[in-house]
Amino acid sequence: MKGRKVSRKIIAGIFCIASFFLVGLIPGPVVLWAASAERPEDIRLEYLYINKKMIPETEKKVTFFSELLPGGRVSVAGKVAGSAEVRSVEVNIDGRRTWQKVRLAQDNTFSFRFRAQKGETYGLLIRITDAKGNTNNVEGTLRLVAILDRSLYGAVQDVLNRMIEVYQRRASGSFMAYVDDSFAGEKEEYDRSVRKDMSAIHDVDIRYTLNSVTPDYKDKVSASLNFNRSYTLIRTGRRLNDQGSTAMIFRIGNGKLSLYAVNGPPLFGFIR
Amino acid sequence: MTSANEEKSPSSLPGGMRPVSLPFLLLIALLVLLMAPAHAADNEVHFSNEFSYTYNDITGPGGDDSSSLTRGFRYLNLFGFMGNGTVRELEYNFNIGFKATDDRRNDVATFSPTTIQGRMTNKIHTVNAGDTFESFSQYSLSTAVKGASYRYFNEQKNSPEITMVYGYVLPRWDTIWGGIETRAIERTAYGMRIKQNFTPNIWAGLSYVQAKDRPGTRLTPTDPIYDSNNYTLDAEYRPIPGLTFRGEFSTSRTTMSPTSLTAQNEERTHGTASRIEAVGEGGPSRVSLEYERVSTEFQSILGAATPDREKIKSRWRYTMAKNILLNLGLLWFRDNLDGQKAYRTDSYTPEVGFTFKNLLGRQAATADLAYKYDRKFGAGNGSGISTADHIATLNYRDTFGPVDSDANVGYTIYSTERDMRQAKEYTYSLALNSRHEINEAYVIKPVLYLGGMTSRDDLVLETDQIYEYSFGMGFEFLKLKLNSDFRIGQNVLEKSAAGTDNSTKTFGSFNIYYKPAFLKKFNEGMLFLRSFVNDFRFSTQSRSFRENSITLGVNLQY
Repeated sequence: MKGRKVSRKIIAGIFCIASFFLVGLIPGPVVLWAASAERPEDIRLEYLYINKKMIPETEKKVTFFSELLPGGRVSVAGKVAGSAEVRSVEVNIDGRRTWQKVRLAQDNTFSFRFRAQKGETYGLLIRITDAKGNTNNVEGTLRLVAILDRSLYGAVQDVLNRMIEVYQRRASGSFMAYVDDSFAGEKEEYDRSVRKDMSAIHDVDIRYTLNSVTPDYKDKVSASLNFNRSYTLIRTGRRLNDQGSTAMIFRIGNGKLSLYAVNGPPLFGFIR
Repeated sequence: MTSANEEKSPSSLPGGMRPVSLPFLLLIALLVLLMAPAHAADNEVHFSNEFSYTYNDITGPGGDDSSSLTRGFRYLNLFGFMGNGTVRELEYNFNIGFKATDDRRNDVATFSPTTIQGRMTNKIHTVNAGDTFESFSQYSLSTAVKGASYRYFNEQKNSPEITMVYGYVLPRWDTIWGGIETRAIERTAYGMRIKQNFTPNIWAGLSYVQAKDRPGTRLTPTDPIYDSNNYTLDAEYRPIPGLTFRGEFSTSRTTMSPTSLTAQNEERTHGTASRIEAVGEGGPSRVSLEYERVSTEFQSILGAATPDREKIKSRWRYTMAKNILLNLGLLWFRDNLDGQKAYRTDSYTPEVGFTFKNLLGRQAATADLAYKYDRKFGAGNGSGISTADHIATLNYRDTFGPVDSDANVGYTIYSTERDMRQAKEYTYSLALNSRHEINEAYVIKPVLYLGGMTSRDDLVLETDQIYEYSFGMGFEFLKLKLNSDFRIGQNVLEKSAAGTDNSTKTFGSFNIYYKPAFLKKFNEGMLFLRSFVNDFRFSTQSRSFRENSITLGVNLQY
């Protein structure tokens, strides 16, 4: 009992220290950007949104499903940093061949849209010219905008098939790579449930029929499916089977789907 | 207040059919209206149909209880009709799907609509009817409904974004009008949300959702019936690029009737839930910190929340070097927020993981190494249970000449106090596959899989061994547009405990996919044959059985 209390205090202590340490890391990027903003000679973007998603400097490629593009178009919005006068903002999506001047608002914000074809990748470049004729580091603004050739329905099927495959192989780490960090109901709890399955059952066979795939046209898609499942219970060695229907919500992030929530009987992590 | 006398079971209606409600008729009318532009000139229409005919044979004494197949000849037809286009300023798309089958393992109904959905927008007004998915926020609404939604948002004027949704929360369409086999509790959802972008970096949203169950649709007298209202405020703020704060607060008022067997049985609850999250992203680091508190009586019928939980979660992803990524995570949560339980459980889950790319100078080599400590303390009056589990996993992917490899190793120690569980598990798997093209006409793809698990129970001193191995080969005849593959293997379970069942499954499968020239007029026209044999042998011979299945089908997409 005493040992348990001591170890609990140790863990709580580590937790507090680590949390403090992690919180302390947040100012890292803050300092980085603040320092940049203090140099007026820097001509750069303050922010860039592509299809209403903020694209950080570190994210060089963004991917979209063509069926989720409003009107088949990619919309780009941004703001030039600082208060210095900006003469023009131009954009290019065809390998520097043609530069299109975009309308700049008084607060140095701009936006434009372009029609995107399925299966194509566009290299988006932004050229900012200030009143003195200086330009920004154009290469630094490069973002690859890829439009997937496959459908959302096919993507849901793909991710389900891959989840089933790694689940059958008991590769819990690989399985959890398909689960979103913000999984509703707690990712760690779900991991625990899935590992419980992997310990308790063997030779799992899952067949399913996808009924509907409904996007929210923002960042999630709901998939409803019927499943038929058979497995051997390791404890008794008996072969069991069941069936049901469920709904799974996937988050769409950069063309990839990750499991966000399960509304209905669980397909994975079902052993109690 | 609900009583059994007030309820009228739908199954008591003639033929077990349900009356079609007025909102449903309005919904169908709206859907037809949305699909009307499909007749206009500027549009794109596609259909797909997959028909397959299967013969399943099950032999052996254990087959009836254990097989997941249905004996005899069975058909399955999946039909889809979809389109999109623009009429004047209106963009639209629609999607309709039907399923027909006589195999009750595929579906409980012979004929059923799988999806009915139409959407129309002029960039300011958006109407969706049929299968509708509007996600407001985590606590308020993240469930698809069968109904309709309307959204108003004028991006040019930075207007408030107003969304309204109404519909049935039902697993399938034919629950609305179908017979007894597709019945479910009839839950209606209403919701409204107003979201305003104050600046490009600040927005806030206010949501109201109601979920209401119709008492007369209980499947059993003890099914709980809910009438729940959620009021939610959520917001996001990005003070500087790379730093994001998100928060959500929700309050719920719920009336729950647990049974129709007694008259005065309603329980009214009122709870709150809140969470705040900070995410910092810049340079090599991504840090997130989250705090959540969900009261014991909070209910989120249409969203997602775990009642009775206080949680702190932090994650740090750090690129240590060009090819080394560090993942650190720490989760703490506890229950018994209102002190009503006999004991409280605290759960701590620290984890650390490394990803190494280009390991030892090998261009295709990637290794993921992870360790997680899953600790639970059950404290209180002595009835709480404490556990301490250690989970270590290693995944290594590499390419050796023409062979791609994927190897997994795992080691887990389970420890539950008072000698409830003391166990160790070792898991391992290796998948090798390769692709060889010959004269640009043929492709051969061999696949080898070896895997298994050893599970040792230190309390009863018993060991379970699992072995799985298979070999397969894929063939592509590029000019013929014909693909084929076969796979054979065994899954073995060996138990050391007396009186338990050892088992061996020997399996084989063979598939052919062919795109013949006469189906060229379709975008995708394919004939296919799928077949497999599963032979299950158990120590208790009365459980042994064999499944043979062969499926012929055609898939057309236009």
